Amino acid sequence: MKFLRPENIKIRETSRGLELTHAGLPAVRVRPVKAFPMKEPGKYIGFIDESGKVVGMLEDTGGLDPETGTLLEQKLSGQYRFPDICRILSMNMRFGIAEMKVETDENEVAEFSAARDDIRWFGKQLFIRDADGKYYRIEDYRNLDRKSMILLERFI
Amino acid sequence: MTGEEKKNFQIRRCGKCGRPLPRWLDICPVCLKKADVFLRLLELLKPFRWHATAGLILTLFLTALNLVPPYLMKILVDDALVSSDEISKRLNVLFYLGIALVTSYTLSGGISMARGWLMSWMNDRLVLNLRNRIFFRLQELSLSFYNRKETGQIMSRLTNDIYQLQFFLTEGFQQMVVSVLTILGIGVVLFSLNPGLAVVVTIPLPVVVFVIYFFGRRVHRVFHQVWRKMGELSARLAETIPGVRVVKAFSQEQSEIERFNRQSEDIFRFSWRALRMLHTYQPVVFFLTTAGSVIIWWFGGRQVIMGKMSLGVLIAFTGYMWQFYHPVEMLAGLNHQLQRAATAAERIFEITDAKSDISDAPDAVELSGVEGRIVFKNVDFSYDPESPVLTGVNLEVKPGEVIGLVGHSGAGKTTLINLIMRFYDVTSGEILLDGVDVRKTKLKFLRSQFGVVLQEPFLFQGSVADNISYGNPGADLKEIISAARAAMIHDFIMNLPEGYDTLVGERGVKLSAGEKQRISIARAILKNPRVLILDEATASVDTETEVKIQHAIENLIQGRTTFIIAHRISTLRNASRLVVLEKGKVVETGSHEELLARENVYHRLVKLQSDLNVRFVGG
Repeated sequence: MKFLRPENIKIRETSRGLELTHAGLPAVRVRPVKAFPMKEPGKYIGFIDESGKVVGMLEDTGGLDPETGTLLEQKLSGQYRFPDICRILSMNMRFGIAEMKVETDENEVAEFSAARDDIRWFGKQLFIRDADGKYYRIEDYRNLDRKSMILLERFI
Repeated sequence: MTGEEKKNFQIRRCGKCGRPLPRWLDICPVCLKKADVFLRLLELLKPFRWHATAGLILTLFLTALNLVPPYLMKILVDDALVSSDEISKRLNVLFYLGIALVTSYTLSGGISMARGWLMSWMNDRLVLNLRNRIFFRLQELSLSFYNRKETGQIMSRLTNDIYQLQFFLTEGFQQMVVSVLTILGIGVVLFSLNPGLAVVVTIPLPVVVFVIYFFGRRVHRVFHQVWRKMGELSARLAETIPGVRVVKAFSQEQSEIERFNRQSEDIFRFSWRALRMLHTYQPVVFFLTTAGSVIIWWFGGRQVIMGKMSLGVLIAFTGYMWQFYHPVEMLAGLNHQLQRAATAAERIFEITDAKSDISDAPDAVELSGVEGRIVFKNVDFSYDPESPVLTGVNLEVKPGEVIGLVGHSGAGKTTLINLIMRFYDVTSGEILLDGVDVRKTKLKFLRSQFGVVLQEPFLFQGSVADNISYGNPGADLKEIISAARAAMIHDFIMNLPEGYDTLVGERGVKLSAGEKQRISIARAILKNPRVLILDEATASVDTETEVKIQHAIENLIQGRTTFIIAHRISTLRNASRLVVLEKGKVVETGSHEELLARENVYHRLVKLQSDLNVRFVGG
């Protein structure tokens, strides 16, 4: 495993999946993953081959050619989609399980249930995992409106 | 019986009076000077002296305001309801009394709210300060303190004892002052209204105090038993839940259930006894205090009928009487609270006052550019003077040398390591790091030079990244990745759904032993220590995992002075020199081949191990 130079990377979508070419070497079928999807989602992207081995790491997507950059971003955003909660519309607590109705940055109203164990903090960032394993993010809960903040404090 | 076992079975006695100490206490309840403890307790209030004074003033106002309604009632009856004055004048009195009563209740409510806020803030702040102070002290104390105390005991100081103190310091103390002042205040009012009747009111007082004091003591004693039994039950749970695998493996679920039931039944029995006493004692006290009102009715009623006293005074007396007995009850019950608080305080002071036997010498220094040369000079060590653990150890380790420590269990291998890191100090002799006695180097600096990988890697609840960067919280993410790569765990982590942000669970429960071990190796790599200690780092993993860990270790030990403790000879293959310990003495040093050729202790160990392997593989 090594850190790859962004300018030497080419990624393309094939019928067999995503293929990575680095510095003219033969293409490898890979799966991109984020090393720190919550703490530092924009950096440290790893490419894992079919055997589960990390074939290379990319520190930053900055220097990638536009086509590769867009494709990689597309793949990763599908995989690590953490909708931002903008407002909590309602919350019911029962036996430590919260049933929440929230408004996200995608202008959607989502309803989910989560237990207290499903809360994760990264500094001021808060992640809540619903029963299906999907994460919702709150960048800084103190910046939420007062009602949402009060509702959330019953849970966290 | 070994020295350690003997120590465990010794009956602990009070150093002053010689009485055996209760199992659950470290202090002698008989010798406890409550006055001294009480004074020290008040010191805890020092940072909150202005809040406490304000709280006390508000409480006094509140108490004074509580004396107003019965007096207003007296005026209502005498000057408005049964007065012979003109109706307009009586209505006027009624109007002003109404305003006075509303004002009194409004003030009382407002003051009560302000006092509640103030006292709650002080309560919580006091608990926070005390808890942080104890935890800070616990972090400073040496390992020998932890060897003497059970985890449960220490935790109980941070929880139960603090709460016992909190109530007494913030509420109990004020209640005491207020009760005394209320009794005096009501006494003055009663005597000024009718001295004869005031004397009569106090007739049941000695009996009430007697009953409260003696009954209260008995109830407290039984509650104390309940508290102790609850502690025992918690200790049982603390043992059974982490040991659930052993319980299940030995099919002991039923016996554990029975044992738990027995303890629960005990708690029920004592609790039932205590509550039965409490529910008998409360009506008795109530009956005695109501006897006071019967006396007032009898004597006061006669005086009213005979025209010697007004009806208003009788009604006011009745009202004051109820207020009079409440603080009496309070004061009698406070003695038990004081006892409890004193015991809790002593247990807390035991930690805050404990002196760490390992601390920085006044002339301690920080070395610059540590190379990692370690010299043991005539080192002796014992936990207990009668049983030496290490005797006359002399050893010189060059920078970057890899030393394999070999020997039977109890030979002194781990003790040797504990001494280098100053978890304990040598009994005699000295240990030098780059020519400086470790006791003359700053403790924090000294320990920052060491990296440790233990047999049971301890992971904290948090993410994989948090655990790797535990010894170097300022490390950047790239450094964390590099450490994980060197520890051969990076690929595994990247395959986790949340990569380095994945939670490891309590003590790393979501990971296998080998994964945990490689994370702890990454942690040691990231710390970049000059001296590395591997204490049975591969003992609890399978051969395949051991190979992976060995590769990780090869990366880790490069350029560092390393001590490897291992029973498995295969683990010591990276060692440049082996040191064989037997009964606390260094009996052989040399390479694997040299020691084998000597056909002494090491040879015997290797032979035993290979015989065992042959027998095991051969079936």
